[in-house]
Amino acid sequence: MKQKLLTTIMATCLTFAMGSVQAAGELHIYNWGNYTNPEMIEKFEKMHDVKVTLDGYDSNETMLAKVEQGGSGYDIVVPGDYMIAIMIKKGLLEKVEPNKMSNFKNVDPKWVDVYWDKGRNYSIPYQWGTTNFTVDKTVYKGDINTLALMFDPPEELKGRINMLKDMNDVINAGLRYLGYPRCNSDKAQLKELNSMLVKAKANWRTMDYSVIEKLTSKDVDLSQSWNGAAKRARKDRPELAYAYPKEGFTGWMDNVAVLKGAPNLENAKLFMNFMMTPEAAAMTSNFANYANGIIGSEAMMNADLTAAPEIVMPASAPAPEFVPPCAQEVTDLYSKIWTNLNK
Amino acid sequence: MTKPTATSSQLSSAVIAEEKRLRGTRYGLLAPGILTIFIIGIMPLSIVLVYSFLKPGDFGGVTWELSFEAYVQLLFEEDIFDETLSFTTDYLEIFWRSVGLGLVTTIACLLVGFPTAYFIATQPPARRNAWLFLITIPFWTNLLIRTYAMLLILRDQGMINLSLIKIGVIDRALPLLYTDFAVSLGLVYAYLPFMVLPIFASLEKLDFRLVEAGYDLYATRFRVLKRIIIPLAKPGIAAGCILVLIPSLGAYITPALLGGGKKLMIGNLIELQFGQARNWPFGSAIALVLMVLVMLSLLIYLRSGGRKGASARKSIDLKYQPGFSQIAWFCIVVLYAPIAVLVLFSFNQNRSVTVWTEFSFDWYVKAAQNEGIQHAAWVSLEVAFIAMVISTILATMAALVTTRTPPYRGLNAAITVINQPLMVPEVVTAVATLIFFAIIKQATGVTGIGYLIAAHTAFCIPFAYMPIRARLEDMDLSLEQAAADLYAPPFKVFRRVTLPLMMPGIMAGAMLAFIVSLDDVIITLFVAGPGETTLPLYILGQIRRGVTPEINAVSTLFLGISVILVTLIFLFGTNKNKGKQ
Amino acid sequence: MSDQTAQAAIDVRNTSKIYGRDREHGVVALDQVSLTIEDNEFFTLLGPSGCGKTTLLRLIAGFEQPTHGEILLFGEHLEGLPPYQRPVNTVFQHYALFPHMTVAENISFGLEMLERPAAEIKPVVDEVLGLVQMEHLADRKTDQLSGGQQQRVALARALAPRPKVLLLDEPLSALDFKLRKEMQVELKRLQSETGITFIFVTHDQEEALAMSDRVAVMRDGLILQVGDPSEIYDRPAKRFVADFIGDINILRGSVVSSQGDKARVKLETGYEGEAGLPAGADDLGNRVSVAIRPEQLSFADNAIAADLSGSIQHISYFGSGFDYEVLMPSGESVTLQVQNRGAGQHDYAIGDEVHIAIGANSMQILSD
Repeated sequence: MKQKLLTTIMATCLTFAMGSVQAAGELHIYNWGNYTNPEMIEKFEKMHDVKVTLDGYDSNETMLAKVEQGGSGYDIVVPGDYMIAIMIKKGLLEKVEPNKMSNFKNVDPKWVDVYWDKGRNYSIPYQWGTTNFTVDKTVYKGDINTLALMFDPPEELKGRINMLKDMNDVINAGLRYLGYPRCNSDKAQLKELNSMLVKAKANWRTMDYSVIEKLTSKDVDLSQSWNGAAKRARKDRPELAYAYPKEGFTGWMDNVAVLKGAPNLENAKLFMNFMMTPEAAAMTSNFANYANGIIGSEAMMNADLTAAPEIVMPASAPAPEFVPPCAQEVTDLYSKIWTNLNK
Repeated sequence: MTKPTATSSQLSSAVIAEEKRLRGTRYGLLAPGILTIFIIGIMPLSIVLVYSFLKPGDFGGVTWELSFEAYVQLLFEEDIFDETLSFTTDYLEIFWRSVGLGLVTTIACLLVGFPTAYFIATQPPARRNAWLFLITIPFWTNLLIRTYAMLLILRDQGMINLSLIKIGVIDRALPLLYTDFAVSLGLVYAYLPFMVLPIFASLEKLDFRLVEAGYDLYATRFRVLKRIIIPLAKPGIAAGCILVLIPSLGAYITPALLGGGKKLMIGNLIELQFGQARNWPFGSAIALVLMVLVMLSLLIYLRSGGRKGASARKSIDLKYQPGFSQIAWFCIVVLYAPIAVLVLFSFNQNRSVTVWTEFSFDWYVKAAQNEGIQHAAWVSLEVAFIAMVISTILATMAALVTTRTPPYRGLNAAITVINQPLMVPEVVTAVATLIFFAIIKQATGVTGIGYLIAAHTAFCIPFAYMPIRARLEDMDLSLEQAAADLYAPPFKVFRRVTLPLMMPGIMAGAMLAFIVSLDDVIITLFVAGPGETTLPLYILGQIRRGVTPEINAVSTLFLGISVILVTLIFLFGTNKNKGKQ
Repeated sequence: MSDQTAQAAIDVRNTSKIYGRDREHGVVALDQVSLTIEDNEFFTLLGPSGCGKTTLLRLIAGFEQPTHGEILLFGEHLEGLPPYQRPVNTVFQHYALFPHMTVAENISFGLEMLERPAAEIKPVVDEVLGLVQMEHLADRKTDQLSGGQQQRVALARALAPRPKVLLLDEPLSALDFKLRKEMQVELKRLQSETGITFIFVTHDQEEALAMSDRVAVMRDGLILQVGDPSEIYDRPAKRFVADFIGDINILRGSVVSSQGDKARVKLETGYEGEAGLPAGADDLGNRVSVAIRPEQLSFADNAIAADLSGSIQHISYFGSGFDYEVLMPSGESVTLQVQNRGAGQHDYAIGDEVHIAIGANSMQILSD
């Protein structure tokens, strides 16, 4: 009996080891978790008779580590702006030239000549947003459009703050608060930043990515956050307001790109073209709660989205800043500050 | 050492033949386990070793240039101002905090786990199994989910604070969450079965007449415990401590969730280097230092006579220790509280996981429609089951050779190799395995879920090995000799005597392996290929963007299925036994 | 097996067992021992713990391999044969009954391993159960049995496969006095009924004398003396043997003359008489130890008939008799054992001056 069991197990293992047979019409997408509308995928599958598998990652860096080694088996990834720049530099992306695809006309011209992919030879917009903070207006009644609320908070917010556990987001916000440039290797300025952050940290309760949960559970009253998360949190806690600090803030964009050596290159291209249709873009926005860069999608987007103050920036707000990846020496300095801050 | 002795030439050929036979079995049994770990565990590690002596590449990866910078960086830093090297305590502080937290967790697990294991071991056999399952069932639910459930209990607006405020004990919420207390609690919660199961396997064999002998010699209950029971349960206690201490040293998801993420642990520090800091050599160096520390402590444990064969025979006699049953019940309550919350919120109508609104089956309907979750759950079970079976078989073979043959050179080395996957922080194993598998994939063109299963099998082996070995060490050797004396050749000795007697250890080991595989996040994250998202990965992907109660519904279903499954196995098992009698 | 003469059941030839690297760095458990055990013999290995008796047993069983030398079973070399290929069974000291099997399953285990057909096993199990009077407990689990019952099951289990030689490793040590006595008789009966050669290991000299056809006394890995019980008791060759078996008086003396296995000795007390001389002990020198069993001494009525004299120091009563400890002018003391003749009376009191007679042929010269 035991023998039989063993044989069965061995056989099962072998079957799995061989992998599923590569049927024509497959596509392997590797995107951020809970960021892809299943209805949109279904629509694509029906349209082109393609079987899509979808897996999720939790950070650009995890995705990079995984695909960098090659042989990951994925076709499509959705990296953030700076990560696109890095991946192009490392030669990890296939030059599929979406700018020559039929639906490229739908891409908003302001998202074409971007620093991470000039002229869009590798990638197309997926979703974009801003990284600011959201705060409970009933707890703090003053002007919210200043970074001082995070770095030198008033009494009522002390110990009620969540920061993103993201080295770049925290350090960039700190640099803006002090009025210093990004990708900064000026040691005097960084030293000042370091002591400012250490002092501010005493007033922070947590440093975590799970923003929505922290806010809706009332564990904190202010949280650094992405705009889509702020919108979703506001649904459960209407007192929340998303700030556009006068010192400036980070903008970001996630982009659909094709991996070099993608096993299903043609389907990947089909998907890319599909993602530039207003329908697909609108479906994604409705699911993920961020803006896209496709003209004509607004009409199909949910009303609460197109009217949301988190998505539609007020005219008075400064323009979002898209921060390119910094050199390794700067990153080394940043990570020292970050380690010191977190020790 | 190699000096030929006058007598060696006259050794009877029987001794030589015997030695040869032993060596044959030894290698035959040890090889599969060692080989698996060597290929899947140690080869990748050598990559880490090499990396730690290289320079960081631009935007991650490495540059092939020899450098000791990574190790220098650990202790010294270039001052931001004057560029002089000075001693830095940043990393040491992080190391120290992790070690401290690990120790606190281990001690707490021992304080709760030992009485629980003792209590279970002193129950009548039928009830004993029921208790054992009661302890393990919560662990069939994913750790991330359970940790989330703990969040619900501990937070300002959580169950504890709300009920305390309601009955008027306090008027402002106690800051329970985002403290070291919460982190320790979470770690204890996560690793408790790793303590209970090995100790149970050890105590189950304890001869309670020895306890009576202790009382007879004027020992009080406490002193009997201290002088007789604990020393005899030592192999189990040691195994339990190792199984708790080492993973908690490298833990990073629990500290991040419950500690509020304001303080780095070694695990976070290493992850940072492979992530945003983009300094792989430094990450490798930290990982290696941690590994060496762990290995040293393991060697000390082996040296200080962790292996002692106690001969003990069974007796049904029970001995009561005051408070132990209460601790066992407390243990159950603590283990099940987050599960209860989870089940409750799976019926919550609201989208939020934190605020209760109305009873509904909405999330079950949603889950039933969600192919992603279903697929992930199925992959999880599949991988965990296969990894459990293979790793338990390999671990059993390895445990036999490390306890059932006379001591030989290389024994300690073999034990160390088997435990290797335990000694390396998961992030490091994950990255190293990823690189290693990528090389194989590109060389052979073979892809598929086999890689994921292989990786899971490798890290499950030590978890399965520990309780099996603890059980074997406590087993009376003369039983096997008696069988051999009665004409049973080695294989039959194993099948008819050794195997049935070591079964509780094997069951404990298999359960640990299953749980560990089912809960694994980090290695899976890096190794899984397209379409191989496991439930923990699915959940991890959701954490940043908000968890929905769909997960609660799936977890509840998971729990329900596992309870049914376990009950069936349990009933089937008892019936079979009865039939035999 | 061609030769017609009765073959030895066990022939141990110049066998050593050394634990550790070699003689200098290890422990010598058995030191070049040679021993022949005849078929159908109840043979006992007797000695204090650590003397090597259990090691010898384990070498015969095959649990361990000799470092040097060889062991033959009915003329066949055992070298290299694992325990499960030797037609030899063991009754373990703590019985080693399989806790997960019933009594009957334990007993049939060996037969199953020998792949006897089931139809054949059943009657053998029943028979052996009958032999040890355990028929009524066949379906019990072994941990529900008393010590004596476990003992019987262990015996039955070892006997069921009909081994050529049965090895018993201190099997009675865990039993109470009464049960032990009973089992001694039982074992003796089983041995003569089955005709199997028994090799019995014990440290209890009384047990050894009561049951054995022959006894080997061991110490420090050496066999000191082999013989039937009366030889061992009455003609101990060595001081250790004399001392280990029964009570003994040892007095200093010197050899006056010797011839064959007899010698004239003069004790330090002044008495001169004939004593047995151990074989191969020519070079004992002038000064020797002379052993006399306490029951060979008796009180003499007057000084003329007396061989020794002294004063009573201590009297102990043990039911069937008395021990009198007498201090002699030489500074040595001797113990006399006297049968209890009446209801608790004794004829002498502490402090009495007494005369002692030595029984004929009761003195034995010992080598060290």
